[in-house]
Amino acid sequence: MDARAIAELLVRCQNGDKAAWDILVDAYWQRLFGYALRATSNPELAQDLVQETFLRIVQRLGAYDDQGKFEAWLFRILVNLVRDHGRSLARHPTQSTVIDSDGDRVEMTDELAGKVPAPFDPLHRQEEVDSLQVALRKLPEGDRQILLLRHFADMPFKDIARTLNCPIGTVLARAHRALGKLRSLMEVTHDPAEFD
Amino acid sequence: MTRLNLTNASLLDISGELGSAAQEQLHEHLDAKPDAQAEYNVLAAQYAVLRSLPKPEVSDALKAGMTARIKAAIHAHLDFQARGKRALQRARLIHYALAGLSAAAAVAVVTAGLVLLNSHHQKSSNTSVAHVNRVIDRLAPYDSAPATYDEAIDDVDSSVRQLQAEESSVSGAQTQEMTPLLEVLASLPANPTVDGGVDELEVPQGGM
Repeated sequence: MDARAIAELLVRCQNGDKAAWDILVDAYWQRLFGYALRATSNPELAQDLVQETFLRIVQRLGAYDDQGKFEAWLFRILVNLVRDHGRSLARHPTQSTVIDSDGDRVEMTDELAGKVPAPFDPLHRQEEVDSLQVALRKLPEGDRQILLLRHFADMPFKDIARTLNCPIGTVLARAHRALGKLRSLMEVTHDPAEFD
Repeated sequence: MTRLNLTNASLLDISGELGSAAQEQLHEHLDAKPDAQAEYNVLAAQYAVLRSLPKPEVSDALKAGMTARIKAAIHAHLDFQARGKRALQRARLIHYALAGLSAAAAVAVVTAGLVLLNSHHQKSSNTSVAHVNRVIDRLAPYDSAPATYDEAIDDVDSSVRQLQAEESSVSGAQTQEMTPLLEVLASLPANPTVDGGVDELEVPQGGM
């Protein structure tokens, strides 16, 4: 959806047009969900956070002045919600429910969340995917956000820079550093010497 | 091309975000610099690790359920907002109506007060006029009576004028009668003691 189409859609949304809101949800929910799911490893929580993101947009769109930065604004809200939730979990670890690859509900602690197979991944390459998930979780939060936004939200680096409010040079440098660290973590994980 | 620019440009190229002109320039540079090409290849391999992460595959049922849930929540929120707006409009309307009524009531009270004040003023004015009229009516019989006081004043006035005229004639007569006496006095010597006159006035003793 190009900038002009988004701008027109947002005007309709500001006027309370429900059909326009449906189009907006259809246009963005999957990318938002992709990011939220990988960031939280919890599909139910990811759904809640995506819904909360849209509801915050509904509340604040009246005062929003579109300058072609809607997407960055939308994802910034989600990124902040995910971050706030992460902080909340860090303060108050609780039990949470996830659905495993067989479709069963599994009660798990948040500390173990990264070790549970993601429910929407294909079963093949599961081990590699798990290793990547673990490696991603070991990255600093800011670096992880950049990689998740780039890959799971399909967001270009310049939009990531807008979303995170930092220069594109910084984003690229952090992405470069994060990719290097990710690969080295993966190599350590797959190092046969580890299993001796 | 600086090292930082090379890394950034390589990353943008690998992620498919580099413009065609910059892309061409980058690959010319990489072809000419094997070290840069090697670094590019490392970066591409690192990025491939990220790309290897599968994106969530959401079933149609879950997709439908999830979007329906989000849309329903948005619609409910929009309805809530619309109800809130309508309630706010009603509240504003009531507020303005009450304000109008209050203003009208205030005007009515002030008008009534002015009317009462005016009628009271008029009533007291009428009472005063009636009172004055009654006094005038009471004085009316005296209007045709002779003005005795004026006559008395005129009499006094004429008497005063007459007395004044008499006084001036009396003083003129006195002056005429005194003139010989004054002449005699003037002819007397200035020092009576030199000419055997009386040194002292003899004052009779006793008998008082």
